Amino acid sequence: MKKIIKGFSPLFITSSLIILMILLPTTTLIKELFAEKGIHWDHIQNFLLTDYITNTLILVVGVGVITSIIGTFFSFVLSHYEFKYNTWLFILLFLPLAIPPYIAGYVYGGIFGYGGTIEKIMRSLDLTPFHIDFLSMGGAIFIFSVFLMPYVVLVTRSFFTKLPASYFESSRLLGKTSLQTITKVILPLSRGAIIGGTVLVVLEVLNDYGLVKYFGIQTFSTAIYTTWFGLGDISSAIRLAMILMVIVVVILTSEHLLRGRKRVSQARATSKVNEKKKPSALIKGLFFSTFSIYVTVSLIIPIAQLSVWSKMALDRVVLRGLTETIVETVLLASVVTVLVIVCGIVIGNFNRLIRTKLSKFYSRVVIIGYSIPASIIAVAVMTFFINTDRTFRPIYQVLGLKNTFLMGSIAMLIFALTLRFMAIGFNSIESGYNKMGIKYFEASTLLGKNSLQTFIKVDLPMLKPALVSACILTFVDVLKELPLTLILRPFNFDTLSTKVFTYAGDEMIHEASVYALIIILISAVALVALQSVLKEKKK
Amino acid sequence: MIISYTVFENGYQLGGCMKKVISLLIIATMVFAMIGCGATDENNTNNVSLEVTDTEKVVNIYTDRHYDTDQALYDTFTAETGIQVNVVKAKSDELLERLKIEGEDTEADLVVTSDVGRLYRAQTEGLIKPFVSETLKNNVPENLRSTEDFWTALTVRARVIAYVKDRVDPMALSTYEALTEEAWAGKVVVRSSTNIYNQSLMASFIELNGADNAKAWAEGLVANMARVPEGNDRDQMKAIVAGEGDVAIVNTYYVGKLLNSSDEYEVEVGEKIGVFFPNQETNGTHINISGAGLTKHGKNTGSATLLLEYLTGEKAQSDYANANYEYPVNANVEPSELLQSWGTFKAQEIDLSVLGAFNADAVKLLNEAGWK
Repeated sequence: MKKIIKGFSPLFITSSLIILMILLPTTTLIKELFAEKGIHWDHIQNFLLTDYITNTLILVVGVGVITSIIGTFFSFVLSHYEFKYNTWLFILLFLPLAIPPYIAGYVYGGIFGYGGTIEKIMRSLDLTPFHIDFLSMGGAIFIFSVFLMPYVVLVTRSFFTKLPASYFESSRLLGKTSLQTITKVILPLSRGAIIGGTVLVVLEVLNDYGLVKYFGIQTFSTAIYTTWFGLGDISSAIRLAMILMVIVVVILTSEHLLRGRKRVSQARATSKVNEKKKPSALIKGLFFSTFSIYVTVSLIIPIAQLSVWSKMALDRVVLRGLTETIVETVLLASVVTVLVIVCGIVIGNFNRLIRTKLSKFYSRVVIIGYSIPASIIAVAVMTFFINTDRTFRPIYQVLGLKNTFLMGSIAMLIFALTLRFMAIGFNSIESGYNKMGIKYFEASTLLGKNSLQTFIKVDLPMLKPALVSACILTFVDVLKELPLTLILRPFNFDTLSTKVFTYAGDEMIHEASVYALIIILISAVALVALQSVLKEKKK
Repeated sequence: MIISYTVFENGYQLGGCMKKVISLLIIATMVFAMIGCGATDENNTNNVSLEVTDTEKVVNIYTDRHYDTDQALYDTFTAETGIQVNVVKAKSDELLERLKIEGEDTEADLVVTSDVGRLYRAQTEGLIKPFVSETLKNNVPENLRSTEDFWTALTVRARVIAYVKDRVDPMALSTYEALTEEAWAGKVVVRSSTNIYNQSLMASFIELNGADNAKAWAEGLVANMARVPEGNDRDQMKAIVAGEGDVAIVNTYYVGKLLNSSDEYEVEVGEKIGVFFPNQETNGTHINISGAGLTKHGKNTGSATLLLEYLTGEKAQSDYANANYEYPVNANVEPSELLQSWGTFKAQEIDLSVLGAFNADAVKLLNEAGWK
């Protein structure tokens, strides 16, 4: 079996091509690691790094711990217990993903700030308004945790869904209580999925610049952008970004190595899916109290505030071309989502079927696009595309194409977004493959099905929850993506997110909230649509 | 997905033959990729010479001004001249990087930034070229354009001291330097030094007072700050009105934006704020500009110059500047009533280019002074 797949199999070649397309643009960046120090390097080291690294660590650890605990809790309870409206509860948990953290930062800044909503309410009740300094480290941890938590829920859900009943039965037979089963069996098994989700959150935090800038918190990305924008030293900026990337990759690889052989898959011939249980009153109470707090702070409050602001500013916002913008945004997000999913399946499958150092390397490379700040990726992608254009110029001239056929085209933007969000799709798909293991595949091939049939009949149905998660994450992420879209877009091309920035970037949050609400609305529609794919299957 | 799997499938069965084809494919891809990575500007030297005519009647703009008014003015320009205006809106630094990477292949004809430092950087990196237009020179006073005609201002904003009218006597205010005195201890609020407006302010002090004095000023200001910098310029004014400090350093147009906000509270804050132009007895109030330059490799220079003439002309200037509560650059155009109500002021008499030249030094000194 393995012999056939090893060597120069088409799967290997497609995976290699994908990896190549990720690595090639980044080579420009990797070169900077070994380039000579820029003239500002010493200053950066002396004045920017120490404090900034400390702040970054506090932020990353704080957000990482909170999101992984609460996210796993939500995800597990909803997958393990039967509630009346599981699907709707899930949708409510995912929706905060549609609100970009920097917009959430403005919203909460506006609520807690001077003359903000809290102060207005206090005044109307004749109380002395108190002031909480929300634009602080605590506030930042709060915002990131609340609005990035869906990553953890989504990635772990595909693992928790349809866990084999045998885990629970065996554990019970061996005398463990339900709580012990969860802590001793389920959690260790789901470590990969939890880490996969948390990594996405952490990378998002590491690369954020909008929120930390507004909050006045200096992080590693402040160092990168101050070096680039302030000192005009892009070379040192890239170097900083690459150092960050190397650290991230090293940490992730060592985590992977530590996990090592502890891979467990659910593949058993007799495997029967664990039925959802009726929750006890305690669990129900605990779940619904945390859930309602979460939905209140992550959805109700921000949407209410954004709506109030939208109403105030509606007459000042230019809504010309809105339909076109919506169509373009949705199309862009859909195309990127499909590409990300295809690449994720190919690499994920390669990594599952062929367990070599190379395949492990591939699965780590996928994360590159997500571990470098977006503006830096943009530089790499532009360099790559202009050089490709220059190489192919003779062909362009024969075909009568313009000199910069690719540079500044929509293809470039799609390429960059795919590169960036590959990690997001892959992490969900990988956790799906992890759970599935290789045994089903082997059984199916032994029974004479070829790999395409196996994929469609065996892999795909089992992978479905993971794929749906991957689709949701990628789609919503592209909807709200800003830095890449802003700089790489063709002339006169707008997405909802760039429209938000048009106003928010100039301290006009009231006007920006109109478009922010549309993003949330479209995300909600997409979530419901994608969820229904899952539901139909159940029937 | 289907495609990749079909390949997988065929290769599986066809064995050797398919493998060879695919190997060839991968080699071809790698070669193309290698070339793609290694290609340099030299490849262009043997190109067919580019057309430098404006037959297309189009201007392509990279702009860091995101206002709706800008688009409205472009539309009017198109209606009047038949010249199509295409826009990419993004942040200055990234736009300049895009311009740099595109080199002579760029499609952009005009780059618009919201700060003179970026225009200076564009000039030193060879991304923009001088304009040739007497109209433009007549429209814009000499101190608001590059000495070598590389760029021109489109609008002007001043960085002033905002104070709370009912608590602070403007007579007590005098200069930026005076804010470091004992009397203002714990009373000054200002945003982060990562903001370009503070960097430009600092750069102007390096030019006027020397690096050591500028750093001493920044240290003095940090010592007098009411809080660690956070939020944007609007937030600074809200903070002093709420009593967190007495004075804030802000750009003039944010006062205008508060007064015209759709939020009642912001209007209330704006009404309580007084605008003080510092250093009137000494070297003048700090000003910055939003401005534009023709890209070095732009193909539609003629049309782009026409657009610049239009934007700085009397007809466009009042809309252009007033919509964002900025000062017009065209001397024949009156500032808006609000701006007139604050009175006239003496601006710093420095070559605006130095704001760009000293930007990196300013950032370093601000970091060293501990201005977060």
